Amino acid sequence: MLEIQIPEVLQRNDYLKLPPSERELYVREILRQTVRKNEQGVTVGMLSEKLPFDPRTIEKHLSILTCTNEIYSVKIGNTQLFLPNSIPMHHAKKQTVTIGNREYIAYALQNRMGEFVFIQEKKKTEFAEEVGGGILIPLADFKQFVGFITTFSKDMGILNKGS
Amino acid sequence: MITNEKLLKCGKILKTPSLFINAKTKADGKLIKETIIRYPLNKANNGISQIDGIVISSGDYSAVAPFLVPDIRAQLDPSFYSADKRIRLIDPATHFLFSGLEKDKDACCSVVEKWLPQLSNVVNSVARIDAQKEKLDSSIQRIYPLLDAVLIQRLLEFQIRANADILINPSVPFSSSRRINDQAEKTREMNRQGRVLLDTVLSRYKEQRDLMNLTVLNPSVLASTYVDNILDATLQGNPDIIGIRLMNLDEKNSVETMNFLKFLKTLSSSGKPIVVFNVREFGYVTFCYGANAISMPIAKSPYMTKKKASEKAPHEGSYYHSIEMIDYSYRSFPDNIRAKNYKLPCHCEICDEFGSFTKIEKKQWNYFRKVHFLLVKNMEMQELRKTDVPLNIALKDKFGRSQKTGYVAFLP
Repeated sequence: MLEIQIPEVLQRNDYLKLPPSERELYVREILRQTVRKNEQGVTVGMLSEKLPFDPRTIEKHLSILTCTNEIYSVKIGNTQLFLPNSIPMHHAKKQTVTIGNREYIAYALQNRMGEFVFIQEKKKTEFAEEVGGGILIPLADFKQFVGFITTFSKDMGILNKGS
Repeated sequence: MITNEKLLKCGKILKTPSLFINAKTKADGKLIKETIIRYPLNKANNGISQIDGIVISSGDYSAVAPFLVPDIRAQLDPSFYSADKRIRLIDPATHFLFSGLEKDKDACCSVVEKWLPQLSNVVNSVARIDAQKEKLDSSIQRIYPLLDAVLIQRLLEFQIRANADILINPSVPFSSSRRINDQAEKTREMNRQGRVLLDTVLSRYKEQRDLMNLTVLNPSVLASTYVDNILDATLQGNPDIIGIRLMNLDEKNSVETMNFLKFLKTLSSSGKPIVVFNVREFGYVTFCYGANAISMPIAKSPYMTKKKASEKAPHEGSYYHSIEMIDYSYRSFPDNIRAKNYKLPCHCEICDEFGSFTKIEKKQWNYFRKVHFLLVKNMEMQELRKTDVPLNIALKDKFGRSQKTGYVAFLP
């Protein structure tokens, strides 16, 4: 099995003492960091061997990270490989806007599937930052997507209200 | 001369060299606030504009905090250097659980009590043990397990809520060479945990606050065989800043003092900024060994001295002589200046206002001498920051003209 890089983690006993909501946050952040550290991809087996979490916990959080498009998976034979989605093609093209306690980040990224514009929502709690969701729009179709949003806004009268 | 300016993640700037002041009581907080207002930086006054930070122990925070709130004057005049514009450090001060005064232990326990109610009982029962060896063993066995990741998280959250500009990782002191491995192991574990927690459950602040690993040590443990272990523990968890707090350095013990300075020099090769906590004029020497900032208590000794029960500290504290660089007690000070008709030997703003010792009423004394201390320290920092010659030369000259000539031998 390939060696994977992992971030610093708490001992199992320590992380189990964290309150449930913070424990969830902690496990997800560690998995997020681990996938990011391993651009070649990781499997549940690799993660459960190196991290002090149950395979079921790992699977649960990987699926959450997949739903928010922070990671994506490819199937190679019987193996499901999880890869990071959040590496911008160019940092200069990353833009952020804060609206209320939410932050929206947009940037272009490239993964095995092609080039995309990634729009991510981050929620700020008192101490942590949580990813609320994220969508990937193929770069080639982004103009069409913007057109769709603009039309939608006009139809809803949102742009007029805003102005 | 200012040799370096580091932009902290909070947006404030850590200049090298810098002086921070320890604020311990409500009176200290009030004094700092009033001195800033009374002596603002302008053509006539230097005030205390060269004092760039305020250090408060977690247990003292509630007493001091009301005086550090944002000042309306700073909104009206952007150049007004209010207390909230200076770097704020809230020391979790968990080392007090193991050594120090009872009131400091109680203050630390009172902060932690809501998350860890049993800590106070354990700490007090360990403190009651007379034999030092047994006391240390018991503290390692009984207090260490209570200092877990959850407590570290709560103490980091406490600092965030208190608007600390640099987060200080709680730690245990290095106090005995006999148990150095246990102390290093616990320090390593706590430093790692602090970093992991800031990067995960406190992720909102990982890009907004620097993390400091604070190593509290008795200089006697810095014998060469233990240094690598202590260094490794101090750097664990990749801190942004390193803090060193000395427990009772005997400055007359040249071997111990030199060991400490060598340790500091080695630590500075890590490239991380270093803050040396709780020192007096000796702190200036540490600037020549890689310290970027030092913190000082207001007009008192940084070290704890055990007094006999019958011995009571005098109500009137000591006066810092700005040229001789030593403290004179209220009783001995008049003798020192009698020949000059009791003229105050200093040109800080408050000494100029009073002019003579005879004009200071006894009830004004403590307030006067503390304001004087802050103003003189400000002048000293200004002198060090503006010097045209290398800092070690400037300090050799300054110490050479004072009663602290012993420090010259430690300067490179």
